[in-house]
Amino acid sequence: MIPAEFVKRRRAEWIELEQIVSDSPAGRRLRASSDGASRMAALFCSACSDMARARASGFPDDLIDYLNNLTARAHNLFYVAPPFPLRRIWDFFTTLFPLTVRRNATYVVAGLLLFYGPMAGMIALSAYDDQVLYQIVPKSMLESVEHMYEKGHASGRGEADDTMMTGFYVRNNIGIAFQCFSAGIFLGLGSIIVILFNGVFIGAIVGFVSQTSSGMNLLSFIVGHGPFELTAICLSGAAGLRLGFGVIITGNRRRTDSLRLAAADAVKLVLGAATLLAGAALIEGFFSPSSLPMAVKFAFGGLCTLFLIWYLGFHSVRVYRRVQADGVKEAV
Amino acid sequence: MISTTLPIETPEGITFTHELASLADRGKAYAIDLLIRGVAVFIIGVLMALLLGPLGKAGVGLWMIITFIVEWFYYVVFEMAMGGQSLGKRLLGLRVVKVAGHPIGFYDSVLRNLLRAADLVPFTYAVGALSVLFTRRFQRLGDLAAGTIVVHERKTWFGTQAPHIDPRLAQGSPRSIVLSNRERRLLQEFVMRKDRLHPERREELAQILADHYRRRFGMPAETSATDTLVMLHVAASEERTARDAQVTR
Repeated sequence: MIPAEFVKRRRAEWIELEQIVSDSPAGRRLRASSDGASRMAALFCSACSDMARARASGFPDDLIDYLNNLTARAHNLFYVAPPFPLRRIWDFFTTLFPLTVRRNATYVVAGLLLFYGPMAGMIALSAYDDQVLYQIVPKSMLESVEHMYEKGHASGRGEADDTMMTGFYVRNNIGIAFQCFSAGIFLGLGSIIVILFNGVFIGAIVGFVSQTSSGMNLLSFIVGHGPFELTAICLSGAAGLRLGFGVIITGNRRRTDSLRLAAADAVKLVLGAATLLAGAALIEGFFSPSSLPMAVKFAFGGLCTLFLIWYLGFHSVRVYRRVQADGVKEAV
Repeated sequence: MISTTLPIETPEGITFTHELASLADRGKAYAIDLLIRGVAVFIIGVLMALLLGPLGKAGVGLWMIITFIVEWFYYVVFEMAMGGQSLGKRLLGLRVVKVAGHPIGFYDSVLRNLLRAADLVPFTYAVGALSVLFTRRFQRLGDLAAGTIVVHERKTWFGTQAPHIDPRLAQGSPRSIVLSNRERRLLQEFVMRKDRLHPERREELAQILADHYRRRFGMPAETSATDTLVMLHVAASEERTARDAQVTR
């Protein structure tokens, strides 16, 4: 068949396919059951074979290019990502996230140690040797934090202020978690710096202020949201470490493949961390500065800590064992 | 070898090529998105100040959450809603797809967009730009981690540019020659492109091809190389038409 005749015979279908591709709003799914979808499937398949034929017969380049671009666009419309049902969100928190935590236990433990280690160290240091502490964190800064907590929270704070601060915590803290995570791609160094820095700083403040008269004010303030917030920062650091070590330790894979595999786990860790931080922001905005008795705040903080130990420790191990026993393929 | 196209094999058993988006096009799309985000944040801010003014500080809290979402999830929302395109990419005909040509999923989109924070260090996407320039598939760090590429979605039409062929040359072309598909396409590509080349450069390029054909078909060396190739192109097309007509019959 000569090109002209080929075009004459097939052209109507190409134009029909072109019409469907152009009419569909970018990426909008065609309903699988609709007539349009099955018609499009048929047109797409025949356009594919038309292109193969045009290539094999050495038809003109512009014709081949045209068919190439048409099939490429149809392909992108035809093979769209599966829909994202709400159930997947529930599954993420009950299964996928705990599973990922357990599978990356080494990185999670490393993240926790890199944060809580320096923090404990600074608290201990503030009890023994003030002068060395001031070398690391300036005294004026520590004192200004102390002043902030002199008043205490007995009188509470207005709701408007609470809402504003919640917004601030969401933007600031989750932003830091995301940056801590992405900085991890530079061989994990960025994440290590961020969590170490936070551990040292928070440790110094807690250690210094708890020895002053404002001590209980500060502790009762942070005990409510602290468990969620600090653990989440450790988790985002763990996600960054996973990313960075995916680049360094490749096993038998190509470096980019290794990175891709590491990133698939890391992104779940950081999304879980972001959710914890959103929860922490609500607590920090409305609960921590409230006029509730300190005992209530400490009890709440204790409950949160127990929940995290159950969720990230026991529950994640149980999910991991169940998945291993079932041989269930994890939904990526 | 540097190539700006990437072959994708489909389940239909054919291979089509995606053209990878250049750094410049991606930069333009980014600038458009940046502008859109800026204007959106501004308009939302004004509207909130007007409508939610009585909320006071609480409104500020809401505003901070909105700017947070626009900053980190603008791309995720649009890439999910528009099959791998942000508004800027849409305008420039770009699309994010997986390396194997599949559409991107939720986690891919989150990954490649959270890692913008790593790509834009130390300023103006310096790391990302270097990464795009030095990777085979033009990927920034976020693309490498998510296994995604940015491609051009082109619309072209065929048969619009017919090459100019001197009728006298069409007269003098040799008869009954048989060329392989590749030889024929080579001739065609040359003929399509010849009018865009400077005459001397064109002759220079034609010379490289012509010797082979002159020897093979015993064509005179005094005809210029360009004319030789054009004559062969005409002959090949005529020969093909005749042969195809026979087969069809």
